[in-house]
Amino acid sequence: MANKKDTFGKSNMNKTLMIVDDSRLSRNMIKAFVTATKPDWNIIEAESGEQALTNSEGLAVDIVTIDYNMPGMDGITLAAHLKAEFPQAKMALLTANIQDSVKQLAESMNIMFIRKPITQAKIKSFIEG
Amino acid sequence: MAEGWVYRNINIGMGAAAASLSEMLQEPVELSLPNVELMSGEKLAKAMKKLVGEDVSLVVESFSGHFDGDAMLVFSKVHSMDLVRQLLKSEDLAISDLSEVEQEALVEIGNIILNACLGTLSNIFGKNMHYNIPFFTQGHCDDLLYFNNVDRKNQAVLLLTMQFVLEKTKIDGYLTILMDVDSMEIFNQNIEQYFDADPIV
Repeated sequence: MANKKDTFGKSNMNKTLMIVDDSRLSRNMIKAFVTATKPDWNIIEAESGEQALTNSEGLAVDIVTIDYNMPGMDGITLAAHLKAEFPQAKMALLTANIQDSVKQLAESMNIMFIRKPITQAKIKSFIEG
Repeated sequence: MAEGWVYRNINIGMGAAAASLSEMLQEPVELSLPNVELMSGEKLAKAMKKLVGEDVSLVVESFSGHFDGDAMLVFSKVHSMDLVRQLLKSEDLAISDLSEVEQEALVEIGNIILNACLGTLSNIFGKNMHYNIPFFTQGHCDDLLYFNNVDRKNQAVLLLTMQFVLEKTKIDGYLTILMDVDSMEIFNQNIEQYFDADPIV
């Protein structure tokens, strides 16, 4: 089978990824790195927590990357909302905020903590790991 | 000296920031050891003028919590543009987009570097702090004196100077942390408390 090495084992199923970051540069970088290996994935973008909740309404979101420091709702608060909405979704807090307290919060919610800067290797490891 | 030990820790955090910057720019980044000075706002503006020139580009991130202040990454206007070009070399950008994208790129660089420094401080003191959203601004050195509508001309400020130099493109920038006297007092108490709690040999 052509896609038998797909990590998720769902060869014909495209994933829906939501990128939540107030930095357009960060969103563009994540999108470019994901599209490079997963060109068929559906990608939703949001520049705030509030927008993420609106943009994901009625959709099945599989994977989410969330910035921490954003205008309005912070990334952890958003993650709690998204966990309730999409309990199966895989989430990562992708942030420059390296405070131990933030990292511990993410880990207590079973959310991967990824330190910025965004690199292809980090994104690949998260979406395929 | 306790202060020396704490600033060496900051240096470790900044080393991580330099590694991050190097990763983003795909170029080695060298950092100078941090130099910490207490000075008046007026002297700060003069020092910056000497280091960077009259026209400066800033990425500012205000912080609050156990102590409050503004952390700034300062470049000359010319160097800030060089840094952005270096960062965005592989990006497809519309010319009309450039200015806004340039600013966003600098904010992202600032975000990573300033957070590396502030986050290290939070972690070594074990105090959680709130960081505001970083933003980019340009202006004259003297504007630093009145940043956030605070007249710092005769106020004491903490200048933590770290120079980072990109080997190929010769870009250098400086990180400063401005705190008022009360916050600096708390900051110093934290340094002393940390040293008392966890002495080094």
